Amino acid sequence: MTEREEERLRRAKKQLDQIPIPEEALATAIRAGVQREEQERARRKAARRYIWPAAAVAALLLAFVMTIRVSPAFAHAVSSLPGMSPIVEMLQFDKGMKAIIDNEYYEEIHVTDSDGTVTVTLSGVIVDQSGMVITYTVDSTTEMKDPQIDTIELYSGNELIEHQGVSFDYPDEEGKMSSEQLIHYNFTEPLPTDADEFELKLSIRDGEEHTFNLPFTIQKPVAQGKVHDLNRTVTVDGQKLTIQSITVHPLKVAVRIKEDPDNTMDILQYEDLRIEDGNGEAWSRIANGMTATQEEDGTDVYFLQSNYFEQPDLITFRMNRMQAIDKTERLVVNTLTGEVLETPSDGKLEVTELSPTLVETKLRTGPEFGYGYLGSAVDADGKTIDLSSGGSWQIGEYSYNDLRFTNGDYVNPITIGFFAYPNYIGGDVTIRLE
Amino acid sequence: MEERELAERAKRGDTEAFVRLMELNKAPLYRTAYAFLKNEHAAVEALQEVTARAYKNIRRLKEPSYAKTWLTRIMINYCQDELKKARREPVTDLVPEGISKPGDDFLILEEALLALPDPSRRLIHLKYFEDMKIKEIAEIEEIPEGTVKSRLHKSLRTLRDFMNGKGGRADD
Repeated sequence: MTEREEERLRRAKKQLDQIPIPEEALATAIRAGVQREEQERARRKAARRYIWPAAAVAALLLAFVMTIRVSPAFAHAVSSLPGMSPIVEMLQFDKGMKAIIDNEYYEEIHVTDSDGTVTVTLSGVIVDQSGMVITYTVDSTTEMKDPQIDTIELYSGNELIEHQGVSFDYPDEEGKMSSEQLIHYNFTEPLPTDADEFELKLSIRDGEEHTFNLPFTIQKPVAQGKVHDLNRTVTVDGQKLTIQSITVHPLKVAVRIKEDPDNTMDILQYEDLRIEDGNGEAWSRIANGMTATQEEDGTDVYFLQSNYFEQPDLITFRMNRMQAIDKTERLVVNTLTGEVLETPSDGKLEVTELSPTLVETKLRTGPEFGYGYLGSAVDADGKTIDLSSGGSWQIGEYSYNDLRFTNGDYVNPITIGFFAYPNYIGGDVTIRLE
Repeated sequence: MEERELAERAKRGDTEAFVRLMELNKAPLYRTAYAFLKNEHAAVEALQEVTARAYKNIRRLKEPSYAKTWLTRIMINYCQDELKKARREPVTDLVPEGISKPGDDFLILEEALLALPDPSRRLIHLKYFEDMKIKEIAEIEEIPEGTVKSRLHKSLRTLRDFMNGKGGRADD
């Protein structure tokens, strides 16, 4: 019955065993494969990863912005404080952070938890009504192979603090948790100023799961944010925007802007959103960590470096240049069949990898674009697809951005919006804050 | 150094050990690729791609003594994806060369194999081209041994039906 088929298969196998082996070409292919993966690794390392909350669209921007000058003496002095080295790194990109250190708003904490193998020690926090920056170290009695941060939860009293986004440094590809780490937790609701009892629950997976509970109390009162209610509508290149409010916290200044739903374009990025004092000194967008978010009603909230401690007499809010894209331009793909159904008409975007859990793209942006440009992904039923992470990196003229989905449990085709795009509109918007 | 030790070192991040592990397996992996893609150039490219994928995921190799099986599995997955892509966008560079002449038994067998669903093709390949035991196939495919046997039997029948139809062998 089936013998004849088996016999044919065996003959085919014999024939296959006799094909010439191109030894040299194969050796070259192996080297090339290893080299390609090594380049990928370097690239992945350059990209930061973020935990994205399901409810809010968290937004991110990588650091290509002006560096704040920090004297070596200052850097040395604060670096010697526990937990300070990642903050020194951060404040080079953020004047508000430097002012926090200058004004001694950083608070040292000493709390440790260990599960016998791995020990986590909190070294310090900065907390205001808008968020918390936590520095900590991870030590292990055995070598960690591939540590991944699984969950980060912050409690105030016994209540989980809802967040709009948590950013942290992605543990090393080689598996070393570098000595000092930093978590930036952004609160959804303003934290009450009298909050002082907190607990950080952290789990790190490295083969097995390690979980840590780190309760701590802060001594310094939580600084009250200063709210400027504005509700001013301005028009830029025919697009209407309402600047609702500006709130000044020590960690950041939050600017709430609502776009008119009748606009023909989506404003993606306010490139030079800033506040200025009477001497023309400017505080620009936060470049590291979470840089913007969107509230449920569609209001965008942008974060600027803070001038909370400077308290200048005159403050103006200004912006001139924005990235915007026509509402009809979209990226539509089918992750099951691997088909790319729609891309923006300027031909700058290319899909480089497509699977049910990964969309990787490449965008011709020029060398110093510096934005992760993909927004959220929505399935054919209009449901937002859960992301496990997203990352962006840049090589030469091109920016890259990937989205990783927690599973393939959604309906194709899917539409991916843009968070940034190299297409610009401009004007001059100046508003005085009282 | 034996394969198992190479795999262990590679797993710990030793690049040279990984390259040697690939060198050791390059001929059988090339044959696997050729069995599916039927083209020297495509098979060499497959080895490069599989090298990159394996190198990326080497830490996930659970049992170093099964390195070869693991690599074979990555190769088959890659080849089947490539064949699917080729079917979507018909290109001419996957035309069979060398191994068979038009009209002969092998070409008919090739066509029949291409017509099999992916899982059946994998089982046939692992059994008859990689000479794997039913038990090993069950492990690699993560299905019970009984299922492997019944599916193999069914796949062989499908092959025969196809060849009878295509090859005009109405005599049996």
